[in-house]
Amino acid sequence: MGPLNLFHELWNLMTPGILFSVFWATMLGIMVGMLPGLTATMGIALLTGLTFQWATENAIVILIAMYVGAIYGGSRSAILVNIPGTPANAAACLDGYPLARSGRAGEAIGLATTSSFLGSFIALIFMAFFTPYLGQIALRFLSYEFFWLTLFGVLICGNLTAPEDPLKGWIAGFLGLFLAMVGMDAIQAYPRFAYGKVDLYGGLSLIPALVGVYGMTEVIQSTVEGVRQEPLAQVKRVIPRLGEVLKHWKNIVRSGIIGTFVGAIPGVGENIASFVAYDFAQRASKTPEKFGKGAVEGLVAAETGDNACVGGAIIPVLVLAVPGSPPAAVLLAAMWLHGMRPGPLLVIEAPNTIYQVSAMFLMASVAMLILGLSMVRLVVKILKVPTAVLMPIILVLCAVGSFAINGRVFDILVMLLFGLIGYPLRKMKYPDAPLILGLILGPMLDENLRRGLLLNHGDITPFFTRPISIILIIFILITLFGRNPYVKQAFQAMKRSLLGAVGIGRSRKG
Amino acid sequence: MQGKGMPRADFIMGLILMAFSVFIIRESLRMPTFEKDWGGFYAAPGFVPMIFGGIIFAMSLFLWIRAVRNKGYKTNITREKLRSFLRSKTVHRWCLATAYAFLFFFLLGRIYFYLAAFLVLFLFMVTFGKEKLLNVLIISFVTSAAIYFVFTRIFLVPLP
Repeated sequence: MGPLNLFHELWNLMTPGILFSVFWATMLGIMVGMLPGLTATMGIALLTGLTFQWATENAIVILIAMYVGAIYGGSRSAILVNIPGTPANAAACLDGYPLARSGRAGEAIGLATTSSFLGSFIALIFMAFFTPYLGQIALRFLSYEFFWLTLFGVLICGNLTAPEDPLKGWIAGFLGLFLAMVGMDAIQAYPRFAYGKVDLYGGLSLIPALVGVYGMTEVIQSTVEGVRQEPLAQVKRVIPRLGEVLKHWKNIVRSGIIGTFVGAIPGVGENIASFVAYDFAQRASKTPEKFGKGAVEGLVAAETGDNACVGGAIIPVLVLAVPGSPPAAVLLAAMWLHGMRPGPLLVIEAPNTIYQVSAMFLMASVAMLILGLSMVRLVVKILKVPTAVLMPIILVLCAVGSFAINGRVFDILVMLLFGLIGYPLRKMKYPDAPLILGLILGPMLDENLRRGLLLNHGDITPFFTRPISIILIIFILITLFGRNPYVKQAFQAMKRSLLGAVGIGRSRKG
Repeated sequence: MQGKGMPRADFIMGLILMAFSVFIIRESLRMPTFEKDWGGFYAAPGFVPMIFGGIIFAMSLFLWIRAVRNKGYKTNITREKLRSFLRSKTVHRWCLATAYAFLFFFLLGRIYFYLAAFLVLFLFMVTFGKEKLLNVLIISFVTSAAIYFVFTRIFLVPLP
């Protein structure tokens, strides 16, 4: 019945008005995602206010289209100017930008678009047909699991973004986690490291920090070093060949599933999904050494992962009324504003809503594919703009983007300071992404560690005994020590002895 | 930063980070513990930052020891080297770019947004670009006006 219901809802939504809304909202989303400092969360929040008076169907489809478009759109600036338009596209910078610099910008964007669409399509399958089951898995995560998950996220990000020296990646991650501690804590509302400054009571805002680290640092670096002056590559073919896409089918399916599952975990957004998908792709690759230097596999994994996460993040919104990511949180609020009642009872009260939202998501994904592939040549022209012209424009946009979220001039100062710190850190090979991820996940880690301890009167046993926690701890240990030569030797010895034992067993049988 | 420069940078950075982490631990310990109301030290607002401080200290110590092993302590900072560093084009460009960014921040709220944006765009392009003055004027004017229009009229974002 599932596919029929989905088709029925899709048919109902195929009106000229809704189709027009889907296309313009996706286009706007791509533009919002592309501009440094303007995020999917902000775009959805702005459109929620604008579409408040509109019919529910039309308003929700616009917001979903904005979400899909913005998460995808961020890959454009990640590939072309090494500035992820949204945090979700930080992983796309690692291989997308080197690809663009080596003259394969069109191919990179074409593959990023196709894999984003395929990621969305995989998420759609889960959203439409497995939503109630996935909700149950996500519901099993308690404070203990969230603590380990956030720690794992920061460590793996450090590992991935500083492959030559993971220590620097981890230091950057923990610095980010510390910076997240500035401001009032979630349990006692005690202002930490604020020193009486009212602006610091609310903590360091994420968007200005993100814009500073990625945007402002890029402005300074490009101005100082005068990068991107080399002649632009010819964009010969944008639409990828079918064989090119099929070559990555395993990577796409794996990254799509990872993205969807990470998205379904409440609070963990597209940024982690893309990094986890990227890590899995690197581990599975026959040429892992090419990752970070322009590996198509890396870009495909990152973009499939983050767009699959969009669908995954909507799943807990529908079945639990718990957002899977910050933009999904705004979407949830918009659904409430429009009188929808997402939550565990949705399956009973309005079972078609899941299919309706899935159909909206499909329409937005198709619009993204069409607009994404047809606009590539136009967008690649950004690279033709001289650095000295583009960078001050980005500086002004960074300031506007930082100011727009809270309307505070203080946030512009935060952005500038992060940019100021970001450049020397980048020069000393401290990666940007773990710093930002630490800043995002810090409050979650703090709250869940202390809440877990409070619930058990200081007993740490539940952190180590629950099944999902144990799995996450194993992942963390592999992340921390997996590259250690002694550990590698021990693993190989274990593997040999296991194989030997199997061989002995067979020979005995024989 | 490549080759010999990196151990030196790691040596200095290790020291800075160790000092910073000691500061974090000290400040965390100075926070109230709320033990009577909340049952234990683990509820204290400084508990998690203190752990982070400890971890950053351990990692920066490891970084520092590694830098020492790679002879990063041989910084050899002479007056001559410092002078040539301060006179380098890179430092000048960095200082100017940062100064323009902070000038923009300083101007925001004091003069009209589009005027501040125009000034910074113009200064930036004149200093670092190779465009003709008239082109720079036109680009600065059109861009600042377009940003103002798009954000205030389309996105409805109030500007400083």
